[in-house]
Amino acid sequence: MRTRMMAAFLVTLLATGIAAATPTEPRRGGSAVVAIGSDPETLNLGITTGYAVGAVAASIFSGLVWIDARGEIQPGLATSWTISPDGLSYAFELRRGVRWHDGRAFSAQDVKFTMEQVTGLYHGRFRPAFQNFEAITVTSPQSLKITLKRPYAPLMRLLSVFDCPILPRHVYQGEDITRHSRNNDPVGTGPFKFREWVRGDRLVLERNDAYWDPVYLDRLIFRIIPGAALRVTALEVGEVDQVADFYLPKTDVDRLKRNPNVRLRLGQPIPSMGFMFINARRAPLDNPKVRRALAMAINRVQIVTQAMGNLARPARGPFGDGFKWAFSPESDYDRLYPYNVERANALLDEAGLPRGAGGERPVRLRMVYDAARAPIAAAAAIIRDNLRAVGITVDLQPMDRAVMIERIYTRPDYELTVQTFTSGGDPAIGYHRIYASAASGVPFVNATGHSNQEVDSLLNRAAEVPDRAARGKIYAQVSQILAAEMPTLMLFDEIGVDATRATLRGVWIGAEARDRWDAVWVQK
Amino acid sequence: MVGDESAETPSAAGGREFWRRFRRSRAGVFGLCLVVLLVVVALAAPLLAPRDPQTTSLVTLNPPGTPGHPLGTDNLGRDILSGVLWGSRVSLTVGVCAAATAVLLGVFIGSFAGFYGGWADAVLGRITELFQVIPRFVLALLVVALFGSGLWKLIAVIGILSWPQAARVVRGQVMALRGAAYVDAARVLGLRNVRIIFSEILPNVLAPVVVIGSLDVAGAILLEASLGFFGLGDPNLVSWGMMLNNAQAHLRQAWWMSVFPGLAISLAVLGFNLMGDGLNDATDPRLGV
Repeated sequence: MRTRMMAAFLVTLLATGIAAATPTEPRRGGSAVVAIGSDPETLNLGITTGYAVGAVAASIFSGLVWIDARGEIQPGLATSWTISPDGLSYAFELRRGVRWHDGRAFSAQDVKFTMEQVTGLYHGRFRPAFQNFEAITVTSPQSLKITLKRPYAPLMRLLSVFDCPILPRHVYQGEDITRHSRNNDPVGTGPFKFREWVRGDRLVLERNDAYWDPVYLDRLIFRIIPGAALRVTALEVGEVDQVADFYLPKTDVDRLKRNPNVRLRLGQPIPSMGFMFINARRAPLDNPKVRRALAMAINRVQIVTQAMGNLARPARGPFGDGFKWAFSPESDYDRLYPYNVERANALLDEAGLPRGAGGERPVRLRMVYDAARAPIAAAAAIIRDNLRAVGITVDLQPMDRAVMIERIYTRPDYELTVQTFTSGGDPAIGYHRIYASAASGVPFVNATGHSNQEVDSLLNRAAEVPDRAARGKIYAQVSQILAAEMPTLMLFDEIGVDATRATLRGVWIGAEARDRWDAVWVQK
Repeated sequence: MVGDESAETPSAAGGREFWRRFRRSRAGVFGLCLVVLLVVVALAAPLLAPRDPQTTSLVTLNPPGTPGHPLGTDNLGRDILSGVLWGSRVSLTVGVCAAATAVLLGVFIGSFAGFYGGWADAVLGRITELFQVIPRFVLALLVVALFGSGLWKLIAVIGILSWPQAARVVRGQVMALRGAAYVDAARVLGLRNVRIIFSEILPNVLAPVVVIGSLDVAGAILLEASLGFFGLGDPNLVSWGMMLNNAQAHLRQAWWMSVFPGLAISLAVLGFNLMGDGLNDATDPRLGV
C-alpha cells in the first residue's frame, strides 16, 4: 500500500515535472516586470537614443521594420519593400488597418511626417542618414517611396523602432515636438499602451488589443532600479523578470548561470567592439612599426578572460568578426599579430627605441580612460603591464567621462585610450567612424589623427554598395591597409548577456532584448 | 640631586620621564608596535614581497594558500600579499606627509590667531570653522574628481582639509600662554612677535601637537583609503584603498581580495590612533606621575 502510494506520488511528481518542462501554448494574461536603471528622460523615442527611453517606448511605438534575433530585417509597419537596382529608391507597402492608440487610422503621411519633422531632425542615428534623403513621396495612403542622393547600404537597419519610431502626425503636427506634452503620455501603434508613470519607481503599460499580432501580457511594467547589484538581486528573487545586457553587471553572470530560475542569452546580434586608439600625432606613435609592436605586445586573450570575464572574443581584425561577411582572413590579427613579446621587442629596437640601462625604452605613454567603467580600467591595467614587459612605461589616467571625452575627442591630449563602440547593426553605421578621417572636436569618431584617403574612399564605397559579397571584398581591401598601418588596435568583440526569469516565454525573438514584447507570455 | 642623574641634560631627563609615562599605557605601546611594524614593512617591501604587485598573470582569483601566492591573487592574477606589503608605502607616505602638512598649517594659523587675538583671531577662527563645517570626504572627492589623482595631489588635498583641529588646539594653548610671565619678559627684552611665537611659545605647545599629528596620520590613511575605495587613488601605485575598490566587484567570489587590504587599513589606523592616545596620556600632566 505504502509503496503504491509512493509510486503514484512519484508518477504525479514526474508528470507535473514534464508538464512544466514542455513549452505549452502561449497563454494570455499576467504581467512582466523589466528592470531599468533610471527614469527615461522622455517617452518620445523619435528624439533620443537614450537606452531607458528605448526600453519602454519600443513597446509603445512601432518601426517600419524590426530586426530579428539572427540580425535579419522583418516587416513591421511596412509589410514589403522593393529597392531599385541602383540603390537610390526604396518603395514601401504599409500595413493596412493599423490604428493609433487613440483610435485614429495610421497612414503613410505619419511616416513622412516622422522622418521629415522628427527623427530626421532630432534622432542621433537617423539624422545623419536623413541628410542623404532626396525626397519622401507618399504614393497612396498605404505606400510611400524614399529616394536617396547617394546609395546607402544599411538604410533598412535604420528603420527599426529604435532608430525611426513612427509618430502620430495628428498629435504632433505644427507643435513644438521636443517639448510636447504627449512626450510623457505617448500615442503609438505598438503592442502596449501607456498607462502610468510613477517617477523614480515604475512605468506601467497595458495591452493594446488592436495590435496586428497577438499580445499576451496584460501589463508590462518597468521598475526603476538604479543600483546594478540590486537589479541582479531583484531578478534572483523574482521581483523583476528581465534585465537586459545594458543593465546587467557582468561579474554576476557566472552566478546567474548556475541559477535554475534564470535563463541567459549570450551573444550579440548587434556587434560591438572594444579597441585602443593610438594617437598618431605624437612621436613615436606616428611610426606604424611602433603601432604594430604594440599590437603584438598586448595580450588580447588576457584582456578577454580577465577584464571582460570571457564575455568577449579577442578581436580578429580591423572590423572584428561580428559581421562574418566583412571579416577578411588575410587581415586576421591572429596570423599577423599574435601575442609575441620577442617580435614586439625586435620591432621596437628596429624603430630606433632601444632599451636603456634600466631596461626601459625612451617611451612614456598616457593611457586615458573613463574611470567609471571597471572592465575598461582592468583592460588598461593589463595593457600597462603588457607594455612594461617590452620596456614601455604607461601612466594610467582614469577620469570622469566628460573630462575623458574632452581629452580624447574635443582637444586630443593623450597617447593611448580604450574605447568601446557599437556597430549599430552594420559596420557602415558604427565602425566606419573608427577609421574615417575626422577633424578633432567631434565625440566618438576617429581620434587618432591618422588619415588615409584611400581608406576614406573605400569606406564610402562599402557604405554605398548594396550587395553583401561585393561589400565584403571592399572590407577585405580596407582591412589590409588598416591592419598594416594599425591606426587603432582592435581588442575584443563584446558578447552581450541578457537575463530573464525562466517563467517568461517567447522572449528575445528580436535582436534587441527591448523589442517585441508582444510575443512574450508567462508560464504558470 | 646627586649621582649621574645630574649629569644628564634636562631634555634627556624629560625624554626618559616621558617614556616611563608612555610605557604605562599598554594600548599606547601596542599602537607603537603596530606603527613600527608598518614602517618596517614599508621600508622593506621590495625585499619582503614575493613578486611585483602590479605584474598580472593568468593565475586569476586564486584563494589564499596557492603556491607562490600565500594570500591569493586578484582578478588580474596579481599577488595580494605583495599588494598589501607595497600598499603600506602609499598609506604611510600619504598619512605622514598629509598629517605633517595639516599640523604645519594648523600651527601657523592657530598660533597667529591665538597670539594676536582680536580681528586676526576672528577672521582665522571663521575660516577654521568653515573648514570644519565642510564635509572633508565630499570635498576631497570633488577635488580629486576635478583635478585628477596622484600621490602628491592626494597629500595636498588631505593635508589642506585636515588642519583645523591642530589650529584650534594651538590657538587655545597660545592664548593661554600669551599672558605668561616669561612671555612678558621676552617682550620687555624687545623680542619681535614672530620670534616670541616661535622660540618662546611654540616649544611649550609641542606636546598636544604631536598627539594631534599622530591622530591626523590615522585620519589621513583612512581618507586616502576611502578615496581609493571610490576609485580615486593614484592608479599607477598599489594602495589598499584601490585594492578594495577592485575587490568590490568580486566580493561574492573572492573574499581574500577585500579582507587582507581591509585588515591592513584597520591595523594601520588602529596603530596610529592607539599611539596617539598613549602620547596624549603621557603628555597630560593632570594624569599624575
